[in-house]
Amino acid sequence: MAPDVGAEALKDFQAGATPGDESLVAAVLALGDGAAFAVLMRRHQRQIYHLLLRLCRNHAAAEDLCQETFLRAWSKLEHYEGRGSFAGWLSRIAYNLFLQHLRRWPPEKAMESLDVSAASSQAAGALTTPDHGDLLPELDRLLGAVSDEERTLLVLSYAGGLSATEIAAMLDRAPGTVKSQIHRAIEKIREKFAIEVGV
Amino acid sequence: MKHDDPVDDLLQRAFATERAALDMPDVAGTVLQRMRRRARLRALVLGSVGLICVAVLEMSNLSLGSILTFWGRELTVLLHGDAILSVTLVLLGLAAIVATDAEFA
Repeated sequence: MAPDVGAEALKDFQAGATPGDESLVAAVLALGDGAAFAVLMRRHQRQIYHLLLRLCRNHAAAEDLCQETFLRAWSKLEHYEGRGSFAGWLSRIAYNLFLQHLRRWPPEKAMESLDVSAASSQAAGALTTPDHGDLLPELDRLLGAVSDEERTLLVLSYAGGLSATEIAAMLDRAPGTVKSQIHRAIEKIREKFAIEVGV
Repeated sequence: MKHDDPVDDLLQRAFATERAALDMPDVAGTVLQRMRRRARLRALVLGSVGLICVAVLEMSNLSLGSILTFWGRELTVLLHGDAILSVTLVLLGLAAIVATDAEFA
């Protein structure tokens, strides 16, 4: 991004305006501005932490991975091309770090593959500790109606704020497949809880 | 996802409620501290490398002109980052050279 865009964004930021993510990213890239990056972190930390907490179901692991997500974002910011949302880009980093975390500390020795469903079931299984009091039982109940793979897709979509296309790109799948999987998951919840479709 | 889908609405509300109720750790504060520590460490390493380079140049009996050219380049690189520590070390290195020169004058 051009340095003058960063300087403009920084001026807005210093003038007390509320700059968008793109402007802040430009300010960080052009001027190495830590204050602008701090604004970005404070803006998105709750969403990323929530996503990771839903994936890991463990506060300590979620906090560590959340910190790593922002450190990775700081060091790789020049790779952010602004095609999707900044929050989506952060969510992708967070999810990849979550998968690395599972590889480093596999809950079970006999881990055959690490696709999205395996990752999800491991996270929901062995990584589960009593330390997740913030998670709503009601949401757990809703997500309990779907498979591990579908649950991960719903978490990426609703907690991570990722579109079906972004999820598909991240998981190397066709967007149509991800859309239909999410649709199927919603249908399962509808059937299980007998929720009628609104008009 | 349909916007008028009650399951979609329910999920959106449930995730939003949960997110709002989270007991958030100060992730941003901790990350900023870690970023500062990393920058200082990098500056220390750069400064140390600079000092070693000065020592090598000094021992090579290079002219003052070539040493200044070297430092010009070195400082240009250092000043792009958080390099207060590096510059301090560089200045300390130069002071040490001057002191050493004065001692043996």
